[in-house]
Amino acid sequence: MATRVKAIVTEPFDAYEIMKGEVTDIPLLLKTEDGRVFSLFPHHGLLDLINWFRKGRLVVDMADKRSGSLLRGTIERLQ
Amino acid sequence: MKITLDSHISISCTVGKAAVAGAVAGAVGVATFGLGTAVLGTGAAATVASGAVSGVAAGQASIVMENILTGQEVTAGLGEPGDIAQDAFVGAALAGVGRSIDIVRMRARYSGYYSRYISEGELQAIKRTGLLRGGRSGETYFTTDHFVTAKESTSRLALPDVPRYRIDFQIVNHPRLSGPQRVQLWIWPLRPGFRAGFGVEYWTADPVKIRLLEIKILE
Repeated sequence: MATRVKAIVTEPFDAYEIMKGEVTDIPLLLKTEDGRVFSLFPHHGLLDLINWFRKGRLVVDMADKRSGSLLRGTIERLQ
Repeated sequence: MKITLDSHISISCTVGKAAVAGAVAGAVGVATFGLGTAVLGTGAAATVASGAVSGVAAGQASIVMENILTGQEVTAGLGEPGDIAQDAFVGAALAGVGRSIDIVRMRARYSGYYSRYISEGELQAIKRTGLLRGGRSGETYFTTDHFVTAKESTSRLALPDVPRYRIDFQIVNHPRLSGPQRVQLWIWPLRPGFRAGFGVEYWTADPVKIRLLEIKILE
């Protein structure tokens, strides 16, 4: 089952973007509405996944699977 | 007391074997701790958990090395619950104490201003708004580390992109700060590659209004 999220790209500054999409139950993959796919890893480590399950918010390092570009951002669970 | 040449050689061999076993156990412990923090993170719980795992790994490696050097069966004495629990406790305790000392050291490094490593675009946004990242939503990270090269700052702070400037600034509003914490070592994702991490990071989800003190072009 997928979870609807809002993803805010915060770093690099010039890549700032707000996207919507879906993440897997354990948020290691993000598929955006425009078809891009990102690998995710919690910026503060796997134990930070507790924050995701408790608060629905997580800082992640994101790698665009197509371009290979690396970003940092925040994902927030949408109701 | 009569000390023979044989006893000298025997003592030297024993000390040498203990040194080799200790060195291997230490190397295994350090490697496991590095891997643990890279995966679990550098927060309190993650550091203690990594310390416990590395303590167990180092203890078991030490037993294996002793067995090899003394000609015993390699697996003799491995997996004893009492030893594992003791090594885990010692590893966790040492990691916890080490992290506490490190936090005191990181806080002591604050010299009245913070730094952030930024691009030309962000510099213009800061000049225009007085806010880090131009006041955009999302987490804002900064540090007390003062690097002079773009390469070192990218690696130690695990930045996604190579910065052009370092700005030194004072915070003039009251955002809720998190940290200090060590930047997590990056061994994932494989592209664009490795980042050494272990710089100091603070962060906040609130807008950060600043007084800009200095702008330095990175080498």
